[in-house]
Amino acid sequence: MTSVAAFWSEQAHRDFAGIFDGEGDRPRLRELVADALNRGWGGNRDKPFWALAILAGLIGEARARDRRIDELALLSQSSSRLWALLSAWAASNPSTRVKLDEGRIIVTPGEGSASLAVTRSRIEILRKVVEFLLVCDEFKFAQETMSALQALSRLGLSDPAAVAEHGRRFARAAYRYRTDHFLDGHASSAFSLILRFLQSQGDYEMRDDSVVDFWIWEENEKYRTYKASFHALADFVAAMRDVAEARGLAHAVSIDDPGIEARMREIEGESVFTIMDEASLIHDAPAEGERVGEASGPAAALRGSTLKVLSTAELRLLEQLLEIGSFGREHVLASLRLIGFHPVQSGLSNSLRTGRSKLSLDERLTCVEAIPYRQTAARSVELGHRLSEILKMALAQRLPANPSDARVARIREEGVLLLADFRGGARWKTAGAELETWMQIEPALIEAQSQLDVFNRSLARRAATTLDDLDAAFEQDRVRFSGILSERYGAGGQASSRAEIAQGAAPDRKAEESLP
Amino acid sequence: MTQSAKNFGDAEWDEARARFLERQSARHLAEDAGARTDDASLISATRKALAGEISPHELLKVRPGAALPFGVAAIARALMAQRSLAFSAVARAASTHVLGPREVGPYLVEFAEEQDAVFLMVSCRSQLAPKLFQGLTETGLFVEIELPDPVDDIVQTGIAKAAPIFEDLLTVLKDPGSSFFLI
Repeated sequence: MTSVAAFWSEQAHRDFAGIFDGEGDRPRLRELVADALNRGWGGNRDKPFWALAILAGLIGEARARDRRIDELALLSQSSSRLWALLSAWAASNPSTRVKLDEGRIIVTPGEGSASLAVTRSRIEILRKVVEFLLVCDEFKFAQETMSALQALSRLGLSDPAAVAEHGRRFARAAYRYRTDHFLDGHASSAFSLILRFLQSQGDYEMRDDSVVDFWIWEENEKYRTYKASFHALADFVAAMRDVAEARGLAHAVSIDDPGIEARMREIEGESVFTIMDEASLIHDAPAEGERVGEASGPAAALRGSTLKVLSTAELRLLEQLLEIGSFGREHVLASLRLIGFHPVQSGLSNSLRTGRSKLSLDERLTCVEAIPYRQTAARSVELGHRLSEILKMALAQRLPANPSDARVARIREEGVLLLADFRGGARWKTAGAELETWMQIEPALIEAQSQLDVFNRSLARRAATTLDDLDAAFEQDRVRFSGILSERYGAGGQASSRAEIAQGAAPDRKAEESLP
Repeated sequence: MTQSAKNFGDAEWDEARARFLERQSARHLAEDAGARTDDASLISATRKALAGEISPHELLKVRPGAALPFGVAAIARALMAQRSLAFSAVARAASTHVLGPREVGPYLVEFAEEQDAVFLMVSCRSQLAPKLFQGLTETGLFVEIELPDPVDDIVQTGIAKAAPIFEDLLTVLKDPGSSFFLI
């Protein structure tokens, strides 16, 4: 693929696709692995490789006592099986280096050294990272990676310096790969483009309209879809926030600084960090969104459960509302536009590419398929209610029969009533199995509900102030988008849009599925 | 956003640029589900071999007639070593074109090249007798020979020149970089 806004070489895209080939659709895992390879963890690109060396050492340590764990278990066993074996071993063999704590294996390779919290989802991510190291660049680093895994498996955690050295070697291989395949100059110009756009706006303020303004800005030849423009600005804002937060810690600042506040929350929220040093706090900062405990994310966890708590349409909406991130939850109109109009643009691209379409080009260009804001808003609120109900059902099974707290009693009562009507598609052998399945999806439910709640609150605030009438706003945008899209994809604009399609915009099947 | 930008100096802008590129490059890599490669079958076979779904030598046959990346042979070698009674990654005396004896774990493996055949002898030295001999060059050339039962603690077999495997076997045996596996 030659993307209009390319960051990695075509070979890199193929290498990355190769490690997910045949695994079904796992977008959240893809994101977390891409994140580990591009951003690292806790702001340090070497950390996942350091973690990989420690995990390989941990496998070596466990292998000495449990013959079910083989030398290359990280690659040969499924992540859940390896997690089960390692955590069982850690529980029965606690030591100064390894202990099981709140469902995580805390590994401290040397005295006073930083610790790594190993979870099932981390194993899953690191397995993909090591697969990438093995196969990338025509298997260029396969031999040294295999040798390192074998050496660590024999060494265990007995020599912290050697473990660290292997971690550095993994990181060096990744660095060499990056040097060869990251298109630095090309990528940097994307950042300058956004800066120039913001300067052209006269201030650095980000508004709902900024996305559409940036998308149609005449100098913007990199981000040709509304969706790509949305995510570019979202990443820009997030990058600025990253730096502001880091700077907030580096210099003496007001206690009200958001950087300080965020770090305080982080420290207070995670008791395990308080018993470790600052370095381990950085190592242990979970990848964004990883708290749900499933590398696949809340929507995928709900989709994958035997308990069918949400319909396919509800799951799809949930995925969209999680995908927009904090930027999208803060800029609800920009998000309603994304959900409403991206399927139209994607449909236009695909029909021009394939020559197949349910509608004529002219009909499509009127944006007749766009999803009305009122509809998205109503479905989002409804989904929020639904998630609350499901959470009540999940909690009802775990709360004592006669709770003394009136509020708890009420939730339990509501949950029990809801459960009586609920048919989740699964049949249970025992009540224990049912409870366990509910408990498995509980973290995903909580995560999904809390993020949706933020969006719905922003939506309510927005609707109450500037969006008096969502329908009016939608109609106004429909005319505007129709004009923009006609210019790009209509009779006069087709030549340039065809060239643009030939250059890249990858097909977005999911977006088209959203079409009514 | 506005407040942050006002206070940014060069160092902060450079840092923000780096963070932005990391986020965007991760997003692009993760989103591009359409990328496919001629190597897809090789990568997929490698992952299957690592997961134990296919044998390592099936991995070596994925690209018949074409050169295999060195790394693939390295992965196959590691997997074969893991499954063997004993293995030797490289001849200790690395002289070329000599069929000298080779220590393979506790076993001693010797060869004798006659006019019409090559003979392979494994001294078991009171160890469990292997049932299979496998050899693998660094470029992925692979041979496999079933071994008969031992007589007086020595396993011996001969491969006739007319056998299809003969030429490959000689290449493997003569290459000091070949790995030997006893299974």
